[in-house]
Amino acid sequence: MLRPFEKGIDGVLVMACGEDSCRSLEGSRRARMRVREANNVLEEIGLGSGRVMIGQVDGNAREPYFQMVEQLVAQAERLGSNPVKGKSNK
Amino acid sequence: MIIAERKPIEQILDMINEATTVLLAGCATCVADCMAGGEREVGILGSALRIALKRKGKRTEILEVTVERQCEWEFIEHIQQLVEKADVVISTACGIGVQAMAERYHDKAIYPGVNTTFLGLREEEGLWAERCAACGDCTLHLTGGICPVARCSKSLLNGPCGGSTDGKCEVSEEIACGWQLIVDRLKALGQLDRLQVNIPPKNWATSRSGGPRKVVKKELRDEKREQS
Repeated sequence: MLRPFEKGIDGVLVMACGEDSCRSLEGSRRARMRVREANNVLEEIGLGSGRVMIGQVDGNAREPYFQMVEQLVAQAERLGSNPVKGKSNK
Repeated sequence: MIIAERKPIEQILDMINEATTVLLAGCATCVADCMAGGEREVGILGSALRIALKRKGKRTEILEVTVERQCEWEFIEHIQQLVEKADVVISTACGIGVQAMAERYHDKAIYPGVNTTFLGLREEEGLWAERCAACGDCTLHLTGGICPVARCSKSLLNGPCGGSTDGKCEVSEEIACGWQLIVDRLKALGQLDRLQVNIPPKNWATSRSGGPRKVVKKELRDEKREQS
């Protein structure tokens, strides 16, 4: 989840199934906690919490995904551009 | 297992300082189980450091590796080439792993990426708790399998003290009274009579009070092989 931020990405949306309908049983629930962990790390290094969002909706529901992308874009705009953008270490 | 917690990233950045190549060395045993310094956590730390260093305008290269157990020579031997590439190694193993690396690679700066905290177990998801103080003189057979040294805040060998209220310790309501746990367990075992026996003062020479400790198993020492 954090690798894209090294490249200057402003936000990441993790799309998962509902916690009660995850075929990996615990997968979606654990994903939720790992998203929280990723946001804590981003906060710690000054990028701000909330750049990683999780959407837990069953795969056959399209509409909520569009809404989630819009929410992510709004959240990323609120937090500002990833300060790493344009700073290559190559 | 050995429980540890990752150090704050700012503290790790201070250790890295002006290094041009840094190796993050994880350990796939205890610190992986307590989610502090295994392969997954090395990946997270690596990303965090790369981002933080880029923000500071630094071009530090961050390498990542995780070995099965950093506390054994055979395993840390395998990463020699990577260690040689780095100016600084941040080990996310416990303090034993960090020191093993420092002994094996004695001309390399090896710094800790985690704080080694205690010997314990995972009580619940995301919650680890102390169980053993490694005092070197186990009394668990007398105390219902519950350690008074590690789990009583005062390490009393005969308890509980007057600060025990409703099964909680006076130090904090979040701490279960170790001696209440012992009494409850002895009751369940039908061994409450053991509480009538006074446990004598402990010989702390087997603990840290006696200085750095060693265990020697003579039958496993090969006199024909030169050993340090």
